[in-house]
Amino acid sequence: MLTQAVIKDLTAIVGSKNIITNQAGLAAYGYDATLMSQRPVGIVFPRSTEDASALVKYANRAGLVMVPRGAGTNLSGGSLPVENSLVICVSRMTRILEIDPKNFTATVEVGLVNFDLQEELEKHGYYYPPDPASYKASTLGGNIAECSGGPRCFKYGVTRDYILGLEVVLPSGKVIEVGGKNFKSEFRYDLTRLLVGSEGTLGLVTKAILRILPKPFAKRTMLAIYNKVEDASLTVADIVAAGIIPTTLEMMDNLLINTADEHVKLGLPRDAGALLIIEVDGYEVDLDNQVRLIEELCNKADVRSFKVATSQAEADQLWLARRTVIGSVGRRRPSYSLQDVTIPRSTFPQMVDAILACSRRYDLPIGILAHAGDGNFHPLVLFDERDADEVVRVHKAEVDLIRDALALGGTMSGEHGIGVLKKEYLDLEFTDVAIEAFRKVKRSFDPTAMLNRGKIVDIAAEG
Amino acid sequence: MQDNILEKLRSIVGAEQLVENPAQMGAFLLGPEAPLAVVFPGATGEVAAVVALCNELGIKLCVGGHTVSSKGLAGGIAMVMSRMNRVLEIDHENLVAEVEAGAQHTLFQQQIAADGLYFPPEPYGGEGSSIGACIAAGDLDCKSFLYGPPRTYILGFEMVLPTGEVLSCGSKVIKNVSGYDLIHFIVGSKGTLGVITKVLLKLLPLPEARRTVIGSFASLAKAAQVIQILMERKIYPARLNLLNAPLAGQIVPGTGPLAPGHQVLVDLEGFQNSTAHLSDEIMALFRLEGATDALCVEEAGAIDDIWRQWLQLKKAYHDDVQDRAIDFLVGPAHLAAALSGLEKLVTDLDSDSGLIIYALNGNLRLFPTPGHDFPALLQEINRLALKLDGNLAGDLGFRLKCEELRETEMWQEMVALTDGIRSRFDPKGILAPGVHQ
Repeated sequence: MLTQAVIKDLTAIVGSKNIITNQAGLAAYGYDATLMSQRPVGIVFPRSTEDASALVKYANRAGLVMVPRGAGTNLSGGSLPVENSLVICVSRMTRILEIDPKNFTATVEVGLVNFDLQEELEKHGYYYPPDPASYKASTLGGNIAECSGGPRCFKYGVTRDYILGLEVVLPSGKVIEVGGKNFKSEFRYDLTRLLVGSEGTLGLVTKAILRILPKPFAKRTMLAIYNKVEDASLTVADIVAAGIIPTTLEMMDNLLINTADEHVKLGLPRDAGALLIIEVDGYEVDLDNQVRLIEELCNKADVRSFKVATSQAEADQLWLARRTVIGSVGRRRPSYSLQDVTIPRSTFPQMVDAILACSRRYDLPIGILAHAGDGNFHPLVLFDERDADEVVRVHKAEVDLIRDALALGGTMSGEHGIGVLKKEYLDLEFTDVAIEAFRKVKRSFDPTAMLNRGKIVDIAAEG
Repeated sequence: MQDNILEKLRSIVGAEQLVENPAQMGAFLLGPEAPLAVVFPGATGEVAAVVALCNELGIKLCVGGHTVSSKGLAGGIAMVMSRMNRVLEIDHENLVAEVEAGAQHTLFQQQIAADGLYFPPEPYGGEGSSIGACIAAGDLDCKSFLYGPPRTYILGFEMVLPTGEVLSCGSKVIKNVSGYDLIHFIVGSKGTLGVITKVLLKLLPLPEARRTVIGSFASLAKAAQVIQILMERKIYPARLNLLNAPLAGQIVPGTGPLAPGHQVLVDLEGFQNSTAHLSDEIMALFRLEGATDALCVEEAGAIDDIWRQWLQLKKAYHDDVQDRAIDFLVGPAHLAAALSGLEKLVTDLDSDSGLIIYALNGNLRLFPTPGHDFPALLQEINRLALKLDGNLAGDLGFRLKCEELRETEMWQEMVALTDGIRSRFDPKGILAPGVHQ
């Protein structure tokens, strides 16, 4: 608990409307999108870089561990408070400082929600490619901290590919700027790349210069339905081999087709093994050929039905199942654990088999959702949080899935991060040398681990 | 002591893979300072043993693909990676290749092209340079707008740390956020954090169609205007470059030289239909906007030949970069303003001083003739770039920006932070002594 003196000092920095210390408020900021929770001792909302810097300097003096937070949609516990921590929540730093379409940049405060930026960019005919599923709620600061992906990243890349520069409050409270408005502004090392995906453990990012792109001239959305998952994965491999990199290749399995259809009534065949949503974009004159080729490849893989949207309204319909699927699993079980394993595309069928085997082994329904183009699986393990035995089995299933993905030459996290959820498994993926290299990075920025302590790796105090 | 070190090195790499004769070493060194020896390791284990030895004895070590910078390397060891040049795997299904760091960039590109695969980044130092150099330098090239900078194409690496341990990161996946992103962080670290031995590269399918369009223009302003029209029409080719008249003559298509002038070079890569449409559109635009000459090249060999000349030209100037090039950036939409500002500072852009522009990135590389007051010019160009949403490139740019904006604290903080990272990886300070000085 914070003392009255500390509360008074913090209030002097941010103002009385930008601090929460009551129990209800502490509870509200004590969780993220994982099942874990931990109450902080206080939440403060900087409104400017100066506020953020002053808060960090003060917290250092007061010996308070700090946890940066955006919208708290995190899926690995990276934004979860730790014991006796002060949450520094950037959600009130939401200004768009500049949109400069002709130079392909937007400069923003990082509390801005991804979707709100997209809406502004839309007015200029531009967009910011990273589109995590949480984009209507998640902040750009959170996207940067986790290096978020999204359905579009098979063609367009992930958050790291769209961050040109950052303003960062270091764990000491000093402010630096890394990168700039182009690809050649880094001083000595590409600190921007190191900070992106560092889960708020190296610095508190306050502003970002983003790379934005003009919207594609044209796109086509297709829906392919298969009897078997294997057929869908054959299509994925064939499309890429044919020289087409779609913007999107989203896959859902039978279980998820059923929950989605129960939820939004799309008339999907309930006995289908899998569906693929395929989207290509580019110049109008190229797309009909690509759609024809993709249809041929789907037919070759025994597709059961193949549809091409002829309008945006139809494209929206084709997307509906995918957009609502995660919520729809609530019809089956009250809780789900969303995994993030990523494997080389060629091992797609083996990963599907591994997930199905895992489901049988632990007697848990697992729905398979995948960004199939980049081998990023989001198995949804369905369970009831109130059933202690089931929870134990869910955790065992999580580790098994990680081991399976690593055995296939993949990674435990494609886009959700390590946080606290996967920290204990880090040595399954990395050697001691690599983990020690991570510690060197952490110590270089934050030798006393004042910022987001206990996430990704632990370090012993230096000196 | 020296003999003892040489003996140990011979026992690691083999006597025939070590050169100690100063006359013979020269072929592998850039710069006047003389190391004790040049070694040519053949495997990661040998690299690790050499690095561990240097670390144990506190001997400086610098690494290169075919040549090594000898700056700060007097009495140290130069390591040339040219023997570690194998392409270990080409994985079509996953669009991935694993190569040793000394693999020749251009040869690798040719090898995978035969298989319908594509690695977009340009070689760092011309045709002979290595993949390792491309990653270690991490420099933007003129294809970075469309394809992303070189770091976009690294999925993993094997690297010998300055303390001799082997660090491996990454896998055959394009989405990976497991742990800190060392995979991309090491790109551009210029050999200061370790010796890269292998890299896992992301590939693309080879574009279906390709065309090159070249136009000659009487003034830089006119050329910049045409580029601006292309960008306003949202035409973003693989390359959109401008060479000023003193350099333009070095690009000679198979059909013979274009009329003299400032040259706009457009490299179109993509699907058949749009590539054909775009090349027609650009040719028409060039003519209507008063190009003194224009040419569309459709034959693959002829296109390759033009871009081979481009790489040679780039390399010739790249070799001079340290001494008399000014590498700076502006917002791409400010290109015309940058050129008009530059013409006031450098009055011989039509006749003598060289200028290479990567228009889509707003990157200008100026090679002023020796008569110019270089330090003063640097300051002026820094101010010009800062006014136009840009900066001088890299370390120098950051220093001058901090000076111009009086950001003393940030400068000190960045030096301390980057020094701290380096010294944690390389506690004895043995690697790449000439970098960050």
